[in-house]
Amino acid sequence: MKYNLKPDERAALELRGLYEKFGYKKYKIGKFEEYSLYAANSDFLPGDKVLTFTDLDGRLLAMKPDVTLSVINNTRATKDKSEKLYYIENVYRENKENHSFKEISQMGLEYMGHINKYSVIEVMNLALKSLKLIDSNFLMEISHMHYTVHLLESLQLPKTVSFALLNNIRQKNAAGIGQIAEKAGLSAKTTEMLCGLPFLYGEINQTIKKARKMAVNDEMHRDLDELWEYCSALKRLGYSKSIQLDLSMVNDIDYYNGIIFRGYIRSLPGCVLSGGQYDKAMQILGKDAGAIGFAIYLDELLRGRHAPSACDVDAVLLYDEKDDTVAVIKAVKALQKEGLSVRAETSIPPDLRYRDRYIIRDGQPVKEDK
Amino acid sequence: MLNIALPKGRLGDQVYDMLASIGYDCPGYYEQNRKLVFESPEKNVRYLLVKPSDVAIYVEHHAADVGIVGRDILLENKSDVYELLDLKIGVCRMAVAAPEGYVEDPDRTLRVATKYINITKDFYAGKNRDIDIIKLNGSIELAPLLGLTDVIVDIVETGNTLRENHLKVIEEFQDISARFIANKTSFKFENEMISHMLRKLGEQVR
Repeated sequence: MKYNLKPDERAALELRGLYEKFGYKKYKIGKFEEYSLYAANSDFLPGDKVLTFTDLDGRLLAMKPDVTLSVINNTRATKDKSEKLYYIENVYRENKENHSFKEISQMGLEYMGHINKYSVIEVMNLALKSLKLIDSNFLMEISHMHYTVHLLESLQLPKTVSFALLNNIRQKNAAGIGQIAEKAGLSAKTTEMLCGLPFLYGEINQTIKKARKMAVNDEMHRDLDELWEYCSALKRLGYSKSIQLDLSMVNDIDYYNGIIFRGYIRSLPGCVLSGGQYDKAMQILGKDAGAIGFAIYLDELLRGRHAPSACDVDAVLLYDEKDDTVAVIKAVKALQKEGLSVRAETSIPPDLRYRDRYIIRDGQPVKEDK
Repeated sequence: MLNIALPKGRLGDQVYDMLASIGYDCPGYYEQNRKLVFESPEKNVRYLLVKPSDVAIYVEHHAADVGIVGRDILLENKSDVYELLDLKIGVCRMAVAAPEGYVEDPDRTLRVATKYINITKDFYAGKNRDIDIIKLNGSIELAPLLGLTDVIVDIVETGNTLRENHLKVIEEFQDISARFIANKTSFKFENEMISHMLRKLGEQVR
């Protein structure tokens, strides 16, 4: 039997198979979560709008805007006992264009527990494999958050200034970075270096070389060493053409640490995969373990162009009200045996697109000329 | 003095001619200048030339007592005004259009480009269809051609723009034309003059 699957459904099916082969277990979470979880950790969320309601006992609940926080909140993983899981869930977020909430289907994978080099590579490898399953024309951008964070720390700026700088770095807004640096009274040399950050972008060896020139302390060099180690491992796994660096990519610094990455598909407009290491989020929620994971935005997969199937059904079988119903069912079955999808009707519905028309003669379906 | 909000452009001129012919003419209206306000103390009227989509806002907030506006704008903004008369000019239809040969896939969220967000939402809510709206401000016809959306919702007059861009109307769902509207307070306090205007305009339309 062939199924008429949409890109998101096909991806979900194939990715399940992939994750289970690597020993990840499917994890089911409820639709609702205590609102306080999101109120206390709003920086972790992609937006600030949460769909809330009061439960019958008076507690304020939310329709999940994010899955990872709930996974962290419920995990029993510790440094000695790791958990590997994946999920397919709907989350509820703001739809700015429609000025309403929308339901987004998301698939994700989390590795929690003792995070070593192997776990990072395994998760990144799975992220790349996932992208490849979705579409062969894909790209993953990788960054090491610590590089930028250590650079900003070395400048000893007030928190608000660092924050503003980070925002402009993310947007690759060199002019904006320049203005803030000037206001903060940074030297011309430092300003120039900060303005160069957004352009630490592209092929791995060259970008790391450029980044080394800008590194101002040993910590930053160590971050680059680590980044290089991961990237060369991924190269050896055959992904040299599908990965590149973007050191201006920085997630929220209170929750994420270390490696972060985003995946793109050429034919789709937005980022389809996003992930990284979030040991800090685990600590904030009181868990004694590290974690790394990623999410795939299944809805994004539907935003590409698609060719609708040529017809709704292969065969229309016309029967008469007077026909023996069992004979009609048998005729339908006979056609299905030939691998056709069949719709039995007394007359052809006006909008139906079909390939062939059949009638019943002596209990057998017979093809009619159009 | 009765303030009349007219949409700038061809429709406004057409309505001015109608009003002038029933005795509300105003010297200087057709002079080539950038003035936005024309007054005739003698006839007790003041014309305000405003952006077509803003007419209902002026009237609703009582900056103008009456105005002339397309029904598309009234429906979109859900303006709180009296819609007194259909002037039967500027006639067109609100329609859904798609590229030639388009077949709808009911298994997906329909992506719609439009500048009429509320009209579009209401229309598809009535059909129980899940949609994603992409708001554009012009050249809406481009959206489905580039794969940005599946269909568009827009006003269609002759259908020439659609045809030239290889789009076709799938469904027309709302007749649009220019309406004579009045502020709710003005209608009570300036009733004599507004009623006179309404009656005279009504005779012209028929």
